[in-house]
Amino acid sequence: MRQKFFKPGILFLAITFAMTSSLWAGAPTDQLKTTIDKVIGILSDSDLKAPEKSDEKKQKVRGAVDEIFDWAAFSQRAMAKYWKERTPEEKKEFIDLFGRLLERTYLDKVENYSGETVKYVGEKIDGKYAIVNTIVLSKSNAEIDVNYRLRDKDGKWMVYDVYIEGVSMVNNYRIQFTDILMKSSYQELVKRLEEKIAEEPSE
Amino acid sequence: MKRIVLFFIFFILFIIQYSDFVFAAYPPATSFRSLVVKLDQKIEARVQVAFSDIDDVARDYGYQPHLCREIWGHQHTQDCDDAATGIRLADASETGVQAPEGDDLEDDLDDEEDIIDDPFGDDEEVLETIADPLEPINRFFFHFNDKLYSWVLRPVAKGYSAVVPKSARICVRNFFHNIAFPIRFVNCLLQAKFNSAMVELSRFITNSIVGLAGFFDVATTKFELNEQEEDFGQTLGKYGFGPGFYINWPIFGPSSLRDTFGMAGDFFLDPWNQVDLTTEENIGIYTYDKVNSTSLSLGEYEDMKKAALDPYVAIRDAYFHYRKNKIKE
Repeated sequence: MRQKFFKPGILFLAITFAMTSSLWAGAPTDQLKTTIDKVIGILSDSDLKAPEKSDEKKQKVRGAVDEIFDWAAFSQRAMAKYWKERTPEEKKEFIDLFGRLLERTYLDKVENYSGETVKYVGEKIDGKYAIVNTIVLSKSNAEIDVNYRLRDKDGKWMVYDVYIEGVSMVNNYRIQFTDILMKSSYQELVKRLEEKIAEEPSE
Repeated sequence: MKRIVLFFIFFILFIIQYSDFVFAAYPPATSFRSLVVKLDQKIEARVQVAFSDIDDVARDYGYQPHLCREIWGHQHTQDCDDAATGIRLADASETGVQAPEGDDLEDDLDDEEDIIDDPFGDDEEVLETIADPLEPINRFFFHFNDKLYSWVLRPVAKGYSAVVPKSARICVRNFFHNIAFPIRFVNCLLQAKFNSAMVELSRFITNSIVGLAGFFDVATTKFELNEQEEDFGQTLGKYGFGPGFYINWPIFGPSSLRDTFGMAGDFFLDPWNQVDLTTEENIGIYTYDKVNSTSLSLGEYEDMKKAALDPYVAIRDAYFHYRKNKIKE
């Protein structure tokens, strides 16, 4: 009974939502979708399939991702209360290192792309903050929940955290950083970041 | 038989205690529910008044009211002065954050207060994570499992995947998933997820018959009936049991106190343990299932390890949040 009552409501919501989102060009989902579509476009581009074009492909993906990922916010949030204790030079160095580590993690997966698609299933905006819920569908029909957290930065929505199946990327690093900072020092953390980035890819 | 009766009793108890539709069907309960809602509203109103008091006092002392609320709410047990640095109203420019160089950075430092404002944020001073009193032992078994993976499991799975085509390996995985149906079905029921239980039942019937004994997952591909991943650890979580502490089991890997009980519970529901097999045969089946599923996810563990500064801590945290998210669903 409840179901019957519900359906027109959902339809109505869907229509109004579709209308508002097309009217409201600044919506976080739209901006995120533009970037993700761009990345998927690069990944499935047949001109870039050849192994020798790998670097060019990575370069293009990096360019697209950098537009919407706020690496500085990732660093600041992952360092949390320790961020204040750092000098501006240290902050700059840290953003660069952490950004490179995250980027490498991302870019290493570029070669593994095999026709995954992204469904946009929800959006929540509260003031300057927004959550965009997506589902990544693999070819074998496995579904992975991926939620993007975005923040309005002078009219542009920038990603500051990604939740994969409920696991926050920033908080996962934050716990690792805190663990290292409590047991040793900031210098040690930087050293370990540098070592990590220098690590050879394990095939 | 005894087991079924036991589950049934559990199930009835659960319905009586938690389910919404009991409230809906029983008029006195409905009025009690509205009473609870009313009480909630009253308390909420008082909290608002209390907050405005905090605001007034904060202003008197020259602090930014809304940030004081945050600190009062989250950190009054910690060093308040430390937490309150930089939120003074009058002399914000003096005690506030120093101006950095570089335009990007400047922007970010101004935003420091905004992070506290983040409506979706979990930016408390101390992040929620799982207790780990057994860390030295856990770390030892983490390294043990790591070596077991890279020296034994991965080479075997690699060889296996070189011989057996992917489509066949997916069929084997489907078969094992289909057999484990009772675990998911009973746990759906125990959590009063009747829709999910029906989905599981339909999946089992469809895949067992049309999917040729479960080798083909036609329920997902043709009927869009997705597997409902439920286990006894999640059921216990739904009943209100916290994870306890982190346990990294040799061979089985990440778990928690609650999920260990969960594994034990699922053990009794696992059909492989119901049929008359010797221990060796059971170990053989478990190993084959493991090798097969590993062959389909080669590289995932390596990627994770490569991205983490401390893989042990990264996996521990990911395990905790992943399970928490699963229980919430």
